[in-house]
Amino acid sequence: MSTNTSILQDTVTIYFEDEPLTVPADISVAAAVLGPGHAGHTGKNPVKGDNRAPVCLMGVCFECMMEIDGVPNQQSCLVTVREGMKVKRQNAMREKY
Amino acid sequence: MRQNFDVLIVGGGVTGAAVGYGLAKKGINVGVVDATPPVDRASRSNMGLIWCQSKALGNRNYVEWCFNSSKLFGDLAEDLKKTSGIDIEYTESGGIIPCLGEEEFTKRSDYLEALRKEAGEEGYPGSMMTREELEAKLPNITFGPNVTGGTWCAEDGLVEPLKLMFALRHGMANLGGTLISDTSVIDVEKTDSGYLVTTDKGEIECTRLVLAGGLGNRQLAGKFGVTVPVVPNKGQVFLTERIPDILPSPLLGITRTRGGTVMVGFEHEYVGTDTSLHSEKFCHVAKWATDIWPALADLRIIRTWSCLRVWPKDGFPIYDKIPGHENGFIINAHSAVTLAAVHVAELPDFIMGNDICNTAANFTLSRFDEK
Repeated sequence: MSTNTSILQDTVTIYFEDEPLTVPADISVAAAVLGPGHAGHTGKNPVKGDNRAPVCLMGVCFECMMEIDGVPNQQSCLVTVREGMKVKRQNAMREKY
Repeated sequence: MRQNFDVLIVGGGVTGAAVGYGLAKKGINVGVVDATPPVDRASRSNMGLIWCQSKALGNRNYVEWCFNSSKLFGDLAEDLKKTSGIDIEYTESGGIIPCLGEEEFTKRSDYLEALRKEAGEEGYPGSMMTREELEAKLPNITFGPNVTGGTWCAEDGLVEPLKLMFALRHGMANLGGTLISDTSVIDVEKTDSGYLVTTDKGEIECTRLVLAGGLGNRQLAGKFGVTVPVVPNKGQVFLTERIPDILPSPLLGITRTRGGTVMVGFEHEYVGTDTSLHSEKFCHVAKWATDIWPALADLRIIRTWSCLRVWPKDGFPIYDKIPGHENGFIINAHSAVTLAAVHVAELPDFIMGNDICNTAANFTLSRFDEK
């Protein structure tokens, strides 16, 4: 059993693809899903449609786009986790703008 | 030991590199010196449009010069692939100027007609599109309610401007030319046999000297007591997150890059060398862009930047000898990207002592003289 989150830090529970995920409070959504909840990818490249995941973690690369609390196209590295937050992969490809 | 070249070009932006590439293709011993930042680097900040249409009524030579360059771009791109190994991502995209409201549509239509009349028998390749035609051309874009249509010109195009610059540089070096990068020119002086150029890394001798330093030409030519009438013309651009390939032809001011980002900006400001960003200018541009294409408002902005265009005071290029010099030249161009292909083709012979072709013969310094 991992002990690295429980001793000194507060935690929150978010829902990643409807699965509960307990993570340290005050971390970014990208950091949360890169950790124990990370399962391959967080979204798709809007140009080519291939799978993508957070890279730069500082708001520059735009590879970490996710749907957060029903709002699509959020930079998950710039959003802090919150109790009960619903996070989904951004898999839909938009064709018309 | 001093380096020695038949031709030394000061300035390794798109223009200097294009001339250097053309000279190297002819087997001339050419060097290009490029300065270390901070210098104004217009070649590294632009949209990469090859833009010919709907400009320069009253200067038919310039119109022809631009279209000539556009026609040469396909061959240049192929040639650069072979000599540099770099794909400059040239596309014969065509270009569109969108119109908001009936008045703007009529005004634009009248302007194209005037250009067509001026072109006479040679014809003019631009035309107007109705809103329906515009929608048919770009079926995945929903235009704003006030868009009345736009122009269309098949001869406009698009390149990746950084790759163009680096391809010209690498190609030149592979053909035997020399790129001297991160080197700032401190002084230039005439000698009995040519020129002596003093840099922060040592001295360089050359028989022929080409000043292609963009806005820096003002200081460089100043060493010979010559005033070059170019001024900084500031542009601000913002870049959005990536979208699919739904905008194959740029809307003037709104260009999708090959990587998928959308670059937006069109303003020209004369504010000296001030490159600070002004949010009210961005708001103005963003309002216009979203009036054209409302979905842009939902896209996130990744980056913004500003840069200084090299702007000869009448907007047209300068190709001339330094007054009083047989083997010293001043080259300044706005539209360095658009004109790169014709520069590669036509400027080397001019630098080597021949007359420039008739189309470009009036792009002299003396045209700025006060009458």
